[in-house]
Amino acid sequence: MLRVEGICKSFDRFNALCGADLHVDSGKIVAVIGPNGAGKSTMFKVITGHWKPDGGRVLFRGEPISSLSPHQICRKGISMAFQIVNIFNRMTVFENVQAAVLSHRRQAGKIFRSASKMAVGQTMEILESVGLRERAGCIAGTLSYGDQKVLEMAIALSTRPKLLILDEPTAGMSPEETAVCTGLIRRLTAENGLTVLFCEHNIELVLSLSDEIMVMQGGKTIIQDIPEAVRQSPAVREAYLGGAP
Amino acid sequence: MSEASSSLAYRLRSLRRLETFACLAAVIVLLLLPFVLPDFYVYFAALVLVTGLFATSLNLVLGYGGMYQFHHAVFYGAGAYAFALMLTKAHAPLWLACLCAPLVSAVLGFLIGAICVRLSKLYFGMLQLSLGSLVWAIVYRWYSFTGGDNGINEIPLPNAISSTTGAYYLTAVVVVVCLFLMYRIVNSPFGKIFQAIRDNPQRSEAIGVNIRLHQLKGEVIAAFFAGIAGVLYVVVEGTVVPDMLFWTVSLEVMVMCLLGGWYTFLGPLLGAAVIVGLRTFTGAYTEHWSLILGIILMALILWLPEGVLGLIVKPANSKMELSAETGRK
Repeated sequence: MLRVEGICKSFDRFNALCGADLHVDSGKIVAVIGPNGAGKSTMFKVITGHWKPDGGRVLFRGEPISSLSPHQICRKGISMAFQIVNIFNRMTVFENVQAAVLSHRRQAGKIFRSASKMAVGQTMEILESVGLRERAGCIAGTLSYGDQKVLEMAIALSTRPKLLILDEPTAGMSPEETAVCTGLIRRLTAENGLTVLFCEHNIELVLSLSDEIMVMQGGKTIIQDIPEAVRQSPAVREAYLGGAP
Repeated sequence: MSEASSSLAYRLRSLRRLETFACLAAVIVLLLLPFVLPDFYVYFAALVLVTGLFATSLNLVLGYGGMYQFHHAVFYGAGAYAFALMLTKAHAPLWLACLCAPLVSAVLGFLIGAICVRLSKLYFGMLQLSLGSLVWAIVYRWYSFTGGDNGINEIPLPNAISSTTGAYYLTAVVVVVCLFLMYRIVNSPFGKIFQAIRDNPQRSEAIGVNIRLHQLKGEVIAAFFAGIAGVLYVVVEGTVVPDMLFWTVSLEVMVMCLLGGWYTFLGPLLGAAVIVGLRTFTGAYTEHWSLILGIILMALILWLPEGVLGLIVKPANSKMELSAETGRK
């Protein structure tokens, strides 16, 4: 479904990505791990069009997408929940999800129809599925951090993506919130048959969720394989433990 | 439906009923005004309505779209000049002039917008200010066509609308219709997405919104309504001057939005009433009324960053949220 081939991205003289490769097959959950600064978030932003790569290419269902803008990539079927909470703070929880649903239905340009009666059922259904239905009327900026992360995931799901990208979905969450969020990701991916690409520092979560793991270091791919093979890989031990036995 | 949802729905229905009642009351007051007030105050009310429409059109892009619209007056002036020129130079029928003038503003909005939406925030505003000033300079210098700094006077208007009362009623009807349309727009999917772009452009793009195109559409719509306000200004004042397109007018109308509440729909109308009132009534006592405006602006920044109506609406929203939360627990 997704193929990243030798992408490079640098900021001034810092090479954030130097020839990273990745492939995500349909229906799989792929995790990207690596130390801080390995280039995980940069790669996600290149895939979703927020940053243009300096080299290499990104193919989605066989079609090159690296020259497209974020909204065009979203319409191709890639949706992302960001590492830092990225929601519409002044709007209600309902309006946050509704905006994404309307955009997905290509109804964002309707001028003389009342938005309050549009996409209500689908919006409430999505809120129900992530457990935010009761808070539909709350201003999004007033939600707890954990709920904001869940809302962000709900927004990403609202565009009915074929590939869902989650950048550190449990970052900054309490252990209880992490457990809830992990359960939610597991349930939503199973229910919707989603293909998921995510990065995470919580190794337990990575091992329990993913079908494949890709390990990055210094902007490059070290390995991409099933969790057990990654666990046994000397290159990964070298990267994480500095060659310790 | 849960208790929280039904409580919120009930409060929303109550608020909507209150809004409908307030709107009906306002329309009745507007209809009766010329019967109870002397001519000067009827003229003043018409001026408030025109300026209020102008300010509300700015707030479409400023408050709802989050765009730094630094030179909105250029669309107001363009509408006024197009209307006056069509009547004086082309001797066009009134209805045609009324129809074409806002379209001229909308086309200008499209041209300026198409260049400016490539940039964002301050850069957008500064480029717009530059392009708007260019239009002002052309109008100011083109004596043979626009009358230069003399403007255009003796604009032929039918008797029905050249009297104070006639101009007032035309203004009131058009302003009410325009406010209704703009209210529909801000509550439409287009308006909601516009607010989403204001809140978070990055997230908006990530849900598939073409933000540049959306902003350009918003710019054209705002320019169109500013053009209508320009036409009404000519009807009320009977004249048009290049000062209408000067950047200080844009600043003044921006202050109206800030004063009334730029996150509220009726805030700019309230702001317009205060500023036009100040200019009209303090102007009789002192030439330095802008000093008072300066003091108001300072007070606004320090104590009322969301404007007068923002101060009222925000606690009301918080109460509704609290009741939704309480209902949930």
